Parts: sequence; C-alpha cells; structure tokens
Amino acid sequence: MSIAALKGRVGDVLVEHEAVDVDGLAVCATAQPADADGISLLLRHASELGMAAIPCGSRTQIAYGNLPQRADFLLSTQRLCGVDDFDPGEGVCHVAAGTRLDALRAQVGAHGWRVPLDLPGPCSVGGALATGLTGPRAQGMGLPRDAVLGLEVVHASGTRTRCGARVVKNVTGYDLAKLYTGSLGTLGVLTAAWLRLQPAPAAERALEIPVAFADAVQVALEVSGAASLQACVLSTTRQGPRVWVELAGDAPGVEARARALIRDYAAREAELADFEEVAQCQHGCGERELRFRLAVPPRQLASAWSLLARAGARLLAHPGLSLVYAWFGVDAAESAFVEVAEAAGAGQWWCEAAPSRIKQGRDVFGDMGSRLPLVRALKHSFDADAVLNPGRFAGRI
Amino acid sequence: MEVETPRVAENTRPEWEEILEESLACVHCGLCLSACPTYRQTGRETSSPRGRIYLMRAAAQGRIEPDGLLAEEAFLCLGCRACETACPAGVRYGRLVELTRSRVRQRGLLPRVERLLLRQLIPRRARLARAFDGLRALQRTRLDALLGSLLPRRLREARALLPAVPPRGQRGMPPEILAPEGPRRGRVGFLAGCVMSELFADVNAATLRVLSRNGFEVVVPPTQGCCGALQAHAGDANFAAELAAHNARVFEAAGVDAVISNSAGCGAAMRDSAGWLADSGRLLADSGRLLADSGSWLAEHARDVSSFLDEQGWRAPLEPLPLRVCYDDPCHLVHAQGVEAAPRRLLQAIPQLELVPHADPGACCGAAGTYNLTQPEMAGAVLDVKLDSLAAADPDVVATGNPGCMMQLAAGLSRRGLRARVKHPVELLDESSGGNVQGAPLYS
Amino acid sequence: MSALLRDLESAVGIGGCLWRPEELLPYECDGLTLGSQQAAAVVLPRSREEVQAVVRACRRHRVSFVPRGAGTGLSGGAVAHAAVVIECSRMDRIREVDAVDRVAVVEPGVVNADLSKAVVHLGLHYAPDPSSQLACTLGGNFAENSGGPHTLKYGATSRHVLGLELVLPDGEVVELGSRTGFATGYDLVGAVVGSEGTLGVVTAGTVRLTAIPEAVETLLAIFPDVVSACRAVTGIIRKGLLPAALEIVDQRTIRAVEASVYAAGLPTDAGAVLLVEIDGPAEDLAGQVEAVRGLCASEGASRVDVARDDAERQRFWRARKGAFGAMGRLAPDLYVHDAVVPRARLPEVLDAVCEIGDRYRLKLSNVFHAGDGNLHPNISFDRRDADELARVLAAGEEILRTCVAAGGVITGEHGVGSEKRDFMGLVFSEDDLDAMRRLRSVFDPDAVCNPDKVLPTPHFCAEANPKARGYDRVPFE
Repeated sequence: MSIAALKGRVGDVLVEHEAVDVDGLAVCATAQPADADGISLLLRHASELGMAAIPCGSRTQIAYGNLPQRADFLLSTQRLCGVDDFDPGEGVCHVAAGTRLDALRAQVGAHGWRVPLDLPGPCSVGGALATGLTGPRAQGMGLPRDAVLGLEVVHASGTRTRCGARVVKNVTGYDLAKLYTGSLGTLGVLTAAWLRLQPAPAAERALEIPVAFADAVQVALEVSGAASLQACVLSTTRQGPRVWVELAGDAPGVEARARALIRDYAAREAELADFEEVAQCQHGCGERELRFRLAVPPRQLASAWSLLARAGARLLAHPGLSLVYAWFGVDAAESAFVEVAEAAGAGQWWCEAAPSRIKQGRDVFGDMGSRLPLVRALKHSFDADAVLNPGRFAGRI
Repeated sequence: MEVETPRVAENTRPEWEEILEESLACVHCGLCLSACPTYRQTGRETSSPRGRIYLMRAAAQGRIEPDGLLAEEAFLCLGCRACETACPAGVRYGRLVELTRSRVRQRGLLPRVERLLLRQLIPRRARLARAFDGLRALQRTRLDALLGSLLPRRLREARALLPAVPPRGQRGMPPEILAPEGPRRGRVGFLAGCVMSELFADVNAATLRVLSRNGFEVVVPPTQGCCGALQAHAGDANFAAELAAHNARVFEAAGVDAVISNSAGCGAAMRDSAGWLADSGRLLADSGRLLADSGSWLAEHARDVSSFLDEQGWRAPLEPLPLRVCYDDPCHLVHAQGVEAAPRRLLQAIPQLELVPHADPGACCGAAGTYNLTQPEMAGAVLDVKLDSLAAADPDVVATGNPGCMMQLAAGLSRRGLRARVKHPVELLDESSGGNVQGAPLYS
Repeated sequence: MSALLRDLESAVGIGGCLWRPEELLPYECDGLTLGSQQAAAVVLPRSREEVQAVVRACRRHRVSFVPRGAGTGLSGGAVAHAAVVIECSRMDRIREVDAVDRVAVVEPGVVNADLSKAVVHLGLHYAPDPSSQLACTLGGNFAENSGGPHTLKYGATSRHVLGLELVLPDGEVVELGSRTGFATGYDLVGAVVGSEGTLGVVTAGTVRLTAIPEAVETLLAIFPDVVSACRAVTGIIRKGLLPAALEIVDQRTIRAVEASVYAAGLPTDAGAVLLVEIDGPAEDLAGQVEAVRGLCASEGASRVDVARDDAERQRFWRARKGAFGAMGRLAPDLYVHDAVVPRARLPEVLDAVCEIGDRYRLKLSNVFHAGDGNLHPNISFDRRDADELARVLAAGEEILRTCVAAGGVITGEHGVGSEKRDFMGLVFSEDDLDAMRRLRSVFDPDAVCNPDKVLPTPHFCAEANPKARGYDRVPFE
C-alpha cells in the first residue's frame, strides 16, 4: 500500500517486481533514480510515508550486514554512473556512486593512474565506500577511508549535502567523509565521490613462498614488512600453506626485492593472475558456510591463527593489514562465534557472510564496547526515523 | 570571536622601549616551548620563552606591573638560551631577559645578598682567594658539615655542590706568560676566570699546556678582572658593563690575536659584552664611543678554547685514552656561542676515545650560574632529567666545558651513585697529549 | 576565589590551576595573534582522571572549556573566551611503544618530534611532520589533523591515528578505534581527528609507527620565478612520480630565512626554490632523481642540487621548516594564510595571490606544500597601523575567495578555528554545515567544548566583517 503511495509520488522511478530475498526479508520494489535529485525526491517522499530503503549499488555485497529490520524497497544507485571530472594532471576524479570499479579502472588506467579501492571489478564505487571493505592491496594502496577526498550524500530527509572537496588536503570543517565511509548507507545515500588516485606502478611481480603451517604467520609477518610490497596473503586454500606477495613500484626496486625474497625465503615466481585468484579468496563463501573477518594486532596474530585452526576453520590472512579471514561450516555456527570472539581477544571481529537464520538474534559486527551509545546517537541524529537500512549496521541500528 | 574594544596602551613605560622593540621580533610561533627546560618542567606558558616575552611586552605597554609574575618568571628562567637556538626569528631572548632583570625588583633578602656578593666578592680577586681559604679551612676541619646543617636549605644545597678547595699553591692565577712549544703560531690572551682560578686551577693549567703544545704563546695579564657574566645574568647590567670594559682594555693592550676562555659562561659574556657596552655607552655621552668600540673588540676576539683549537687545527701528537665519554653541551657554549661540533671533533681525534651519545646533550643541566642557589627546586628537577639521560648512557667520563656545569653534574652524579667522572674536554686533550709531568708544580 | 576555581584546584591540585590575570595573559592567543581572548582559568591536568574531574567541574558551573596543546596552532583554535583552558602539556608520557605491532600509545602533551626521537632506534618514526613539529603536541595534531611537508606521500595525521581515548563533554570516557585501526561501527576516530577539540578532550592516542624509508634523496631546484616552479610540480605529478614532499619557497621567504639562524645557503637572488624529497627503496631513487632533475630543467630551473649528505639535507629542511618564524624579521606581525587549490591550478592561483598582495600594497610571501596544492601566503605587517591591518584582512578574504573559485578550500592544515569560522559558507551550503552540526550535537549537545569554533552560527556565514571576528581588537597595542 505504501509502495503504491510512493509510486504515486515518484512515478516510474520505482519498479515493483517479484519478491527478492535480502537476507531473509522479501523486498518487492526497486527504485532506480537517474540522478542525485531523483534520490533526494524519492527519499523525501519515502521518509514522509514512513518507509524504509536498502541502498545498494551492484549488489555484490548485498548480504553484508545484520538482518534488515524492515525494508520497503531497494534504492539502487546503478543509474548514477560515470566519471564526470578527471584531470590526468591532477590524479583526482569525481565519480558517480553507481560506477563499476572496472569501468573506472579502465578509464583512469589509460592515463597512468589507478584506483586505490581493492575490490572486484563488478563492485560499484558507492558500494565499496559504503561497506568500507578492501582486499589485501590496501597494504600498499591504503584503506578506502584514505582514498576519499569528498562525498556527495543524500540524507534520509532528502537533503543533499556535500563534504570534503576535490583537493588532496583539506581540514575545512569536520571530516564527515570518514563517518560515511563504511557506514553501510545508514547515515545517507552516497551519490558521488571525489577520489584521490595513485600513480600506477611501473612494475608488478608476484611470488609465492611455501611455508610450514607452524611458522606460516611468522614468515608472513616478516615478509609483509618489506619495501615495495603492496600486498601479502597467507593462504591455506591450495596445496598447503603459502605466503603470496605482490610487489609493485619502480622496476629496479621490485626486482631487488624479488631477488631478496627468492634468496632469503626460497620464494618462487608466480603469475599475477594466480595472485589475483588468491586475493579474491576472501570474498568466497559457500551456502553452508560462515565467513568471519578478524582484526588482530601482529603480536597476537599467531595465537589467533592457531586457535582458529584448532577450531577447524579454513583460514586466510592479510598479515600486513592485521586481518584474518576464517570460514566455518554452518553446523559449527554456535561454537564458531565463541571461538572467533576468543581468537580476536581485544581485537575486533565481523561475521561477513552467513545464512540468514544464523544471523537471527546476533550482531554480526561484534562488540562495540563503549562506542555503542555514540553510534546509536549518530544514527538518530542523521536518520531519526530509521529510513536508511534500518537494523543492518553495527549495533543493529 | 567576540567583539571587544581594542586595548590601547595608556601607560607605556619609556624605560622599557628597548624591550618592546626587541620583543616585536617574536611572532608567537611557539617553536621555543619544547626547548625550554622550565616549560618542560611546569607545562606553563607563563614559564616559557614565548610566555615571558608576552609578559615583557605587556609590562612595556603598561598592561601589567613588572614586579609581579614577570619578575618571578624572569628569575625562574635559567638563561640557558636553548630557545635562541630554536627560534627561527632570531629573537635575542637572553638579552631580553637580562634587560628585564635589570628593570624589575625582586622581593626578599636573598637577591640583595646575591647582588652584594656579585659586586663585592666575585670580582675582587684577593677577597675571593681569602674567602676560598676560609672555605678550605672549614672543609678540612669538617666543621663545614656541622655548620652546614645549620644553614638555610638553599645554602646547604650550594655547599653540597662545592668540590674540595685545593691549597693555595694549587690555585690562583696562572703565570703571566707561557712560551709556545715548537714553531710559534700566534699569541693569545687567557681569561683565567674567578671560579676557574679558585676551584679548577688544574683545568686552567691543562688549558695553558694544550695551547702551548699547539704552538701558541699564552699571555695571562695579571690585571684582568671578572667577565661580568654573573652580574649581567642577575640584572646588574651597568656593573657588568664596567667589568667588561676593563677586560677589553687590558687584553687589547696585551696585543693578542684572541682572548681564550675555557669557561663557556665567561666566553659567552665576552661575546655579549659588545651589547652591554653599547647600552651603557648610550648612557655615558662622553666616553660612550670608546666603550662601545672596546666592547666590540672583545666580542670579536673572544674564543672558547675548543672552538679556537678546532679552527686553528690541532697539532700536538695524541696518545690513546680508552674511555667512553659523553659530551654534554654547556648552554653558554652551544646556545649562546653556537659552538657544537668543535669540542666533539677534538675529542674524537683522541685515539680509542669513544664518544657515546646520550639524550638531549644540549639541554640545560640546571646549573646556570647562580641559579642552583636562587632556584634550587627547579635546578634539581632540571638536573634529574639530565642525570636520567646520562645514567642510560653510562659513560666513564662526562665532558663539559663550564665550571658551573662541572660542579652541578659532579654533585648530581655522586648523589645518584653513578660512576662517571666529570672532566673538562681540555683535561682529556691534555692527558692524551702528555698531561702534567708527575710531581711538577701546577704551572710548570 | 570563586567556587569554580576551588573545584578546579581540587581537580588538579593548587599548582595545576592558573587564574591570576597575569598568569592568564600569555594564554590570550595561540600561534595566531590577530585576535585575543581572556580565559577564565587554565588547568594543567596530569591524567585522564584529572581531565574528567575538570570537565565535570566545568559542567557543574556551566562554564565551557577549551583543550590546548603547545598553542602553536594558526587558526585561533586554542583561545578561550571566558572558558577554562585545559592545557595538556603535563600529560606528556609515551605510555607504550610496540615495535612488533608498530604502534605507540601517547598522551596528548607528547611533542611530535619527541615521539620520532623515542622510536628511531627501532628503525621507526611517526610520519606526520608539521613544520612546528619540534614544539607542537600530538594532542594538537589530532585536533587539527595536522599535515606537514610529507603529507603528500604519507597522508596527514588522520591516516596515522588508530585509536583515541576521549573524555566526552559530559565527563565520560570512550575508547575509539583499536590497535589495528579496524573497529566496528562508524569511523569515530576519523570524525574526531580534525574536529579541533570540539568533540571532547583526547587523553591518549594509539598511533601508527612507520618504517624509516630505506633511502632518501633531497633535491633543491632553483627557479627564476614562482610560476615556473609550480609548473615543475605539476609536471612531476603528471608524470606519476610520488615524491615524499614537494615544497616551494619564494624569494621573499628565502631572504628572511637566510637572515635567520636557519640559513641554509640558499641563493637570495633566486625567484623560487623547489625542494623535492624522494624516498623509498634505494634502487629506485637514482631513476627518480634523474626524472625530477629533467622535469625541473625543462621548466627553466637554473640549477638542481642533490643533498650530498644527511647534514645538508637537514639544512635544506631547516630552512623550509623555520620559514614561518623567520618571517618575523620582515615586520612585527605575520599572518600565515592556509588554503588549498587543485594542484594543476597552482600557477594561475599564485599569480592571482601575488596580484592581490600588490593591489593591497602588502608584503606578501609564499612558502607552501606545492605537491598538495596547499598554499601559505604569508603577509608581514604591523598591526599598530590600523589601515594596514584592514588591508591585510581584506586581502586575506580575497585570497580565500580566489582559492575557492578555483575549486579549492579555505584551509588545508591549520584548521578553521575562530579565524575562518565565518568563511565556512564560502565552501559549504547551509545544509552541508547542518550535517556537521548534527555530528557535533551528538558529542557535545550543550555546546560546552571549545564553543564558537569551526562552525558558524546559522545565517551568519561569509560575513567578512572583521568586527564580527574580533580582529579589530589589537592585543598588544
């Protein structure tokens, strides 16, 4: 009924369809506004009607988060697409939120720049920033929060706002872009971003180092501190534990580092494509699996690793980023949450993927400690009527 | 920002005009703060160079009374001038503090006693020698320990700093002239210093030997007087100027190429004396021109023994001294005279001598002239920081080229139970280049 | 003595509380001397508990408070109007250094350079290096999201802060972030860093320590004018080189520096000097040095020197870092501007800035982080000359408008403070500012924590009225 009312106000932007499952919730409509003004209009009416929306981009990470509390429609930014300002002499670009990463990469790559967001190509820029997720290359590229110079955001009320700017250094007012990045669309819908690009490295090499399970973490930590290293993955998924490294930079430095790794660690040359395959492993999760991410300081990494191994998890680590990924079978779900919390210790953990029924009654973002009241108050301050992605974010807000 | 009416200075003090002018060079950037020992101890802006300059300016403009907080702060300042090294605007802070001290009144008896001593005892060689005779007698009868316990706390601490006073034959003025060894490279004057002559005559002797071994004829005019440093630091600018003028005349008449000092404080005073004499020259219309000229002669010719030897080049052969040495910069050498590398280079030339780094060698040790008498608490706190860094480095010898620092560090090291001995760098150079002949008189 | 002062003294002890008018005088201003404000009191707490007690006492007496570090800030962010200054200088312990986790836990009063000094033996350093690093505190750096010459490659403070211990304006403590930098929930560390002390009082921070680069080369290129140096910067960026720092010093600044204790032997007849620092794997540097050298030459550099040793490198940098204070020699007062423009537009904006300075008959010089497009037009003046002061303020505003028109912003590293609060409307709409107010109200609903800073009161934006900003007040004269 309210869908009809909303459709009456916004017209064809809203399309009703067969119910699609979003983490256990059936959603029967999708809005695809053509621009930020369209999103603004839509949200103004939706909030007046007391409706709730799940913002999304390419939907590659649509299952990331807590169970939605309620949702009347999906709000897609897919039609907000393209790079409308890119100066190759500047190394910054203004990109619409729905733009796919692979499209953006192709466009700026032609001029010698790269996008410091390490997620698979089909992901949208908006999705990458809203989830704040990253692959192992964040070690060399930095985190998504560091790549964002400015954001355009539509608040739940439909108000369009901007924070940051196109310049590479800026302390004009509060750094709201940090707050929006990784907020899973719960404070506002991202419609465009100014990104800081990086010079594409002149040379890249991949190497693999076979290691014994017992000292795998130690070797990975040692190796991951090397210069010219942009990514390091400790993988157990193929033939035994392997430390994979990707070197990037000027050719002489990359060559020297590669020679040193071959000499000191008996590293073997690998194809960049093989490394890419390993780098993608973090995103996989079977239907009958749970995937956790843990952030554990290097000093505790080895003990967390062996504890998770003993608990029967399949493991992957990005040691340079202090991140461990652990997969558990759905049958071991109950104990998995206990083991993961224990392994994380004073660190942090997230359940990144799990069947909806496992998420029931849990907060997949782990424990927020003393921050919870502030996080709740922020959500209330920006979206008092819980229009945007209610229930999905940390603290189930 | 709130709107308030501009504060127009109504009571500008004419006698503070010079202070106001100099203070305008400060742009309030704050780079001096972390260099200031009293700021680091207290964390108070009021006890920082920038804060004090702010107060000076306020006093000059009649916003505050000079004799209150500003007077306290002007005397809480160690005068180490580490802030001058840190200051990118080249504010002459040491001068500002001396000018301020000369224009504020301190409360209490101690400042008056101090002024009396500085005018009537320190610059009068015969009286000073007799005073040290008395001290020696007390030390030898161990009566001083008994008397010491009756003294006010401040003087008790001062007593603890004093090393044993040597007998008459082992102290006093060096001989008037010492011939060079080997080919003559020049003729230099030597400022013997008050404390150096009485308590560190052996360092004076070592200095003369080292100069002579390097081919310099050394003249020690017996009519020379006190350098005026302590008086100037205490705010007695005019008296300091008189003392400097005397020395300028004496050394200029001796026809020397340079005036050498082995006390950083005396050396800095000679180099600053151009400013003092220019000041008093302004006041004395007739002889003013003359005073200013002789002041600049002294300032141009004064050299610390380490920078002089480093400039001229060391010639004498050096024997190995297997010692671990921490070189600690006297403030009046590194900050007031900008001499940092020279003593290190000289020490490094000694075979097997290892210069051991320690934290913040350029930070004040808290001695600062008579500071440990007037501000014992702050002096102790500042010394503790220095001792922490020396304890961590654990050297055999701490080398430093200023009598106040040598006494302060020696007392501190022994109180902490640290094994390191304190030496003047010249003593190490002397030892390595032949030392004193066994059993020879002090000035042989 | 008032009840407030009694409560403050019981919170921090008698020696930790300053309240006599003379004692408060030096706290009238920070590194910005254009305006001044009288604080109610200054407290010097030694611990988080003492900070909490002070904050609670302030609340009881309905007095606001202002956190302060070394007072080197250049936007008037640390001045207090009838408020209590919480001076963090006594909270100066490095609580922990962990070379394995590559973090340090520091109190807010630790001096930036002291942290790097304390970890150098581990081969590590704290990368952000504001020009005032010898004196400025990390607490101040957190508040301002301080930059510095090496921001170009290593990012500003925000990128190096992993966690914060924050006393909220109600006196409660929250732990933000984590030792790894990853924390669930909103990025509150990211929001608090750069909030200019308006969201609470930071009592400890966990910061990232970075390996000291394997090798460093520092180049000094001499240009006939500032515009050709800017073109060289643009050329270097377009070529895809990422030096650690790209700094331009103009002629007037060179002359001031050479007359100060930081003299570095720069030629005083050069139109501009470009300082380029390249770091990274030793093998890569030779190629990059040649590339930079070539680009500088093609833009008209008359000479390109490479520092022969560390001493020479330090000397190049001393000249750059001491430039601000050295400007004090040009005139009694100095107004240091801070604005950012897109890097590619540096030459035209610089031209415009110089034209503005000439039109207002001002002594204007430029020393800036050219690689970031971060301009620092410095105006030397004498505030006792009312007409000149008015011209300084008018030129300052025009410079900001010029930068904003070129796609830039009004501050890149000094912060908004009280100086630029009323210019926020040049960059942001009322709706944008409202979003910032929402953030502030969550942390400080009663507006007691460093009030009157950063955000203009609604409908008061962009009023370039010096009276409204208190600049008609002259603190010293």
